[in-house]
Amino acid sequence: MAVQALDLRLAAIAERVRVMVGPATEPISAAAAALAASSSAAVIADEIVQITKAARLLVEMVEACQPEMGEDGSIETMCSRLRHDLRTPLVALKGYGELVLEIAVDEGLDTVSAALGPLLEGVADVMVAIERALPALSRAMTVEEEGDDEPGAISYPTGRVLVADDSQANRDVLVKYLSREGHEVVAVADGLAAVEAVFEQSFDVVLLDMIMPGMNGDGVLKAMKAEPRLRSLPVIMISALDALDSIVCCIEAGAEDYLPKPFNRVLLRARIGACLEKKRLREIELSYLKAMEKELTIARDVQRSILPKAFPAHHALVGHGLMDPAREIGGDFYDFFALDDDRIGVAVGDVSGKGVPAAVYMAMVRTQLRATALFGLSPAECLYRLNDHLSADNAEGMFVSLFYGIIDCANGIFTYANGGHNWPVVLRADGTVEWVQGTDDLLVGVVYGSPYHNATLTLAPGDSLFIYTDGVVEAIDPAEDEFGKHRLAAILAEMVPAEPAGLCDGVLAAVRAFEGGQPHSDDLTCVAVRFLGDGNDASCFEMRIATDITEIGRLVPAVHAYFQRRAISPEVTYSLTMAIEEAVSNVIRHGYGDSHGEGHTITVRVREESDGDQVVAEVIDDGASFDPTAADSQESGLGIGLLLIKTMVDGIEYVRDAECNRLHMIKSHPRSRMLPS
Amino acid sequence: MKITVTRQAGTVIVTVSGRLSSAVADLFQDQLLAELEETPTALVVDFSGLRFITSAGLRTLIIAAKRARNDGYHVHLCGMADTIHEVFEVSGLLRIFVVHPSLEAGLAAAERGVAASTA
Repeated sequence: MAVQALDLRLAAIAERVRVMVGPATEPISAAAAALAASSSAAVIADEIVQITKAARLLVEMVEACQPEMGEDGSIETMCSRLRHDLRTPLVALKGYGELVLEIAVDEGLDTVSAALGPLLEGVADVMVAIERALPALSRAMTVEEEGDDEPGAISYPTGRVLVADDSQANRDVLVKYLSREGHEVVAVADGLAAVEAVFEQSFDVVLLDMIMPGMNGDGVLKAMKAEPRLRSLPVIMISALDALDSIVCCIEAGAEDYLPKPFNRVLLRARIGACLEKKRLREIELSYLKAMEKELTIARDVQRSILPKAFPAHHALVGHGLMDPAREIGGDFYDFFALDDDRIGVAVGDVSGKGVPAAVYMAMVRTQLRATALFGLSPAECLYRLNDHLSADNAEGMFVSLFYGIIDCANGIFTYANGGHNWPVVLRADGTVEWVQGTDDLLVGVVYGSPYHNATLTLAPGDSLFIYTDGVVEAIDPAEDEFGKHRLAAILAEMVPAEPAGLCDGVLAAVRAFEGGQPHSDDLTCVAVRFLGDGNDASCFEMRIATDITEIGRLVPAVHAYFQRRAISPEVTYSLTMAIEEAVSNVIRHGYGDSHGEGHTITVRVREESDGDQVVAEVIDDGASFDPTAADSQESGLGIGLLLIKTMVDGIEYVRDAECNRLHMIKSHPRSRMLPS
Repeated sequence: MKITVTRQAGTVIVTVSGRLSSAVADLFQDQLLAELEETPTALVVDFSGLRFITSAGLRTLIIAAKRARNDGYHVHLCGMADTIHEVFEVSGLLRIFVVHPSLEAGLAAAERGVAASTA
């Protein structure tokens, strides 16, 4: 019973098609016949044959209309397929019709042009008739207005296009259209062939029919989007207007656009053109981004190369600086330089803004500061001159907060001027934290002629200076709480014994931990300087070096300077220096195994004892326990070094204490010591 | 950050609150300078809701101060929290701006035409 009822419904639908669409096909047949009779021009002979065939096919399909139920048994699906089938000859008629019209206009074939008008009108009428006979439930759009402007009025880029459509007629029309536009076209008849083509060949845009045997258009789309290499290849879905739901799905799945059937030449041209243009822009953008990244990397390297590599060697002063920019390049900088034997200049600055302008300004500030400072002018005088240079012609409103000071290593007196920079910290040897209060002088580069003032403070042996930029104190945690001066003070107080490098790294680590992985918006720069002291009353030398063999180049001159100041004889200087060098290089080469002691330091102390009758050098390291006094020279493989030490000095003592090796090397100092000059 | 702008006779009153960080400083600069296109008789900036300011924010105020000096009016900063005041103090900017304890005081000074820029 049910089957019978269904058959009746199908028969009724077939009848509707015959009655409602049939008459509308008549003008098409007439127009096709007129067209065939109007011209024998060779340029359009093929197209006219196709039009004749399509007109005949349309009439046959309507007359012999015999809808069949689909697998899902739904009337709607059946109607949809029927609409799709009936449109196939219409696509050919419209496509070839428009193509012939274009050629006819170009070639001046007036009778042909005249015959095409009724043909194309007929196609539109049949479209309407089909819609009436087989209304789509989900039809949500009206047929796009015919809007054929002058072909070629706008010029679009050309490229390689893949067309995937199971209908031979559609493929032919698209290939003809697109080839005429100057594109290189490859056409395939099903989804699997489309997948194969996009994976094996290179295309600029892909046109995918929605419904194809084997694999549908959306399947091909998904396969393409799953492949990173093909993700940015633009896809245009071809679909009847009533399949809007699936079009929406495809757009969501990454299709660039869709094209309704039957094809409208202007739309087709515009959409393919837009895809190619987008692809071209994306490629330009990518190459531009790559070039920019490369330039930023170079800029960063150049900027890093501006920062001083090492702190000037001095027995009474050690220092370290670090800068961690927020972007590839930043506006922070630090500098340190020796002004004479005992005076060392230290500067930290923060240029307003970030990126390239800040970096360029920063390089300028740093160069001008050095040029001024190396004349030995006082910090205030340097800032005053720098400010006049920078503010004289400063339309951009750039400025720098700049702290510059000079440490006199002979007496620990620190003379400084502060041009609107954060107050640095004095970290006393006993753990007290003091702020180096400013002179309230203005940021540098703002107001021409602005005054700057010198101030002084005295560092005692063991005291450190910590100079930083606001990337430290203005760092925020995920709850937007500020790191602040109080946290900085607390962290520094905990790190009193740390070396300058340890202070800088410790503060950086604390700030980054505080930020909890959030991106930091400002550069972070800090410089730490520790005054070790000596002077005429201080008879002790102390220096810490990294476990790196090149550090010996820094250690030896400092030890020599100490011996010279203490008027130690050349013989003792020679012997003890060699012994220290051998002991330290042994530790560096053998004390830390494969890790080479990265992050560890070796402390070297030298002092006079017994009222100057002997000089004692002490090498302290936290490497593997090793007693050189007990070691068998031959067996340990340290032979010559140990032998040299034993030969050079008069006494050698070793203790293992608090996880450290302490090696004392004692050299008696002959009474014939040189008198201090 | 939140910026509101009102005009009272010829005086432009800019209220900025929240965090004037580097990330939003350009926005602040664009809005503030746009208000100064048509020369006011005074610029009053109310900081009473401001919790944080970076050097980029200071830069905008310096540019505004320079423009004010060229165009012949004054910039009045009002209602700074202690932390903001400290930034101005450390930067030495108290030398070029006069700071008022409250918006009312700032507006009164603007009305009297009191010099705010000494530089």
